[in-house]
Amino acid sequence: MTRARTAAGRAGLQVFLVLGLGFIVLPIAIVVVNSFNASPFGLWPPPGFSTRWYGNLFHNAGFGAPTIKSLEVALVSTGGTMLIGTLAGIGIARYRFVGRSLIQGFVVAPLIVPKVAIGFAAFILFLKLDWYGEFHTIVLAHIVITLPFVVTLVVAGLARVDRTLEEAAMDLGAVPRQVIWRATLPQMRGALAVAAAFSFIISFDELDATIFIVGQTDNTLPVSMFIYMEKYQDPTLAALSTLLIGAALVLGVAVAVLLARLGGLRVLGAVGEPDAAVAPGAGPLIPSKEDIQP
Amino acid sequence: MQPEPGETDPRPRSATPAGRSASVEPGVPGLLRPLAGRRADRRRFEWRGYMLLSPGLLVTSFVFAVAMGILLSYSFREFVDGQIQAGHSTATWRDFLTSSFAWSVVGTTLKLGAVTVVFAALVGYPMALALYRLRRRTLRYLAYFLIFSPLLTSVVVRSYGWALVLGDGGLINNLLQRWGFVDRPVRMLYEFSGVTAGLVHILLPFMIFPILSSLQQLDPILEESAADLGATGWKTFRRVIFPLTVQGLIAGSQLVFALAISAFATPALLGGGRVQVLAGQIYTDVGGLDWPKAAVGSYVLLVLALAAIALFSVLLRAQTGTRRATWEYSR
Repeated sequence: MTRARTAAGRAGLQVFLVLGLGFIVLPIAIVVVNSFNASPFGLWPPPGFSTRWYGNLFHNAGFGAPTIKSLEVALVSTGGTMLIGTLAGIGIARYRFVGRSLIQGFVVAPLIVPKVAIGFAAFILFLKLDWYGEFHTIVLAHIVITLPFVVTLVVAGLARVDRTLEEAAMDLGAVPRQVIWRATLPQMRGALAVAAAFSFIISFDELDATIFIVGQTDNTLPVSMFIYMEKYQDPTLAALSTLLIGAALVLGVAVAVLLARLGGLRVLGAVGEPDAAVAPGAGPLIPSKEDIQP
Repeated sequence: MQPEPGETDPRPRSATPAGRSASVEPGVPGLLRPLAGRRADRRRFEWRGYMLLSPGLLVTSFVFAVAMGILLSYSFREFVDGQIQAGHSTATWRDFLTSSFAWSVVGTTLKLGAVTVVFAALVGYPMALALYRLRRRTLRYLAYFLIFSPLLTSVVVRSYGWALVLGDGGLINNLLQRWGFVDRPVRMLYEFSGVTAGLVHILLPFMIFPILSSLQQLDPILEESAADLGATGWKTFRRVIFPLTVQGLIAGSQLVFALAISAFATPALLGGGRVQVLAGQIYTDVGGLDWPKAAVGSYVLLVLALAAIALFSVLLRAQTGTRRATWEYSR
């Protein structure tokens, strides 16, 4: 009797999980189907199928330049944020000095400030500096937004580095620089790879802050998609979204494979750290290795 | 359970007792010393540490702190006759705080945050529990992938998807009409309900993450003992599992609430101007050149976010007592 009820409870949970996953997949799946919808109003069910929205996407919609710009911004800001964030992470994890935790708190502070406020503030600043609309302003803003993630991941990654390997390298005569490059960094490439992937995605998809600081014409992709969707509802956006979903899936699989090869989600260590900083006692937010690894 | 050798707590603050760092012999490069707690920072000025942090400090000070400072000063200006006036005053703050429209926007924003948290918790907790119970590794990986990969797609794409699902000629209305539940389309798009659906969808992973994490910190022995002592599955859940994972739920709610009240794109795209939230209002005010009002709105939003984070932190701390006992037990 009791066991039967427990089994029913478990089955119920699994049904709920399937429904929940359906809820998550539904709007994404419908975007893909709608990209082939012959109706220009996204009528459901589609009265017919056509690929003309893909044609429209490549010929008329004007998403080409924003795509390139977003890729450039994401690449440059990821490079910058990885460099700055790795240095900062090493400084926080391996040195001791007055004001260390204060500086760490300051660097991760943009995480809890609404992006709209960050974007609007940066907009006024750049306007005053007469930099408005320039490429590097977007890169700077994206570095500020992604830095908290990178610093946190690097600190977490450094905490899990096996110190005996560093000591062995020292004993074998390596100078500190060699120790970092040959003993420390190779051990945390998982954390670094995840940090880079994170900041690339955040930068590529950033809208809330970027919409304030892009120039009038030279939009990034999320901004031009936002503006397009405010004006039109035709499936051209679905065609573009489908391509982006495809790219995201490829990226998602790549990240998953990378994580699995580098030792499970545990390399993320304490992604929840910035949250834990405001909420002491919150554990690491990531499933532990025991559960995920074979 | 003892921690495995070579395994360190990923949280630096609790990593090493402060005393240990002092015993390290001088001359060893800071890089190779053990991780230090906060107390080890006292009276130390390792210049390499400052050097390493200076680029980050510089960028954040400049693009974030200085900019936020300028923004604050703008909130004490006034916008009259299409012009931002020269002098400083508290008039814009006063206007904002006495305007019933502004308060209704704040109200909608908070309501959106609260409703989103409730639905994300109602959907997210059972999902996390089911995921935790899932035995087959392939299925679990698939579920993880489905839950977390939407984070890789743009918020605009997902909002667009919801517009297709919820629209008057969309999927749900089509099914409702075909099955004869309603005669005319139910309005969901450009309504509060539509915005909520979109936000729950976008923020759900942030709810599932911490709950799953706290479930995985549970010692399986607890559940076994409960079963041995004759508790039913439901009773075990109510008396053992839920109380021990409620801090994951609170941490998730904290994240979801803070992100929901500052959301911009989803309310703008799925609310269609009929669901006015603070973030959208700020954008509108900037477009109307009323920077002082937008600056006040930005700081009100920031204060709301900080207050919410603090509130959930207090809730979390109230939970730590129970949690610490089990945490120490499970170590």
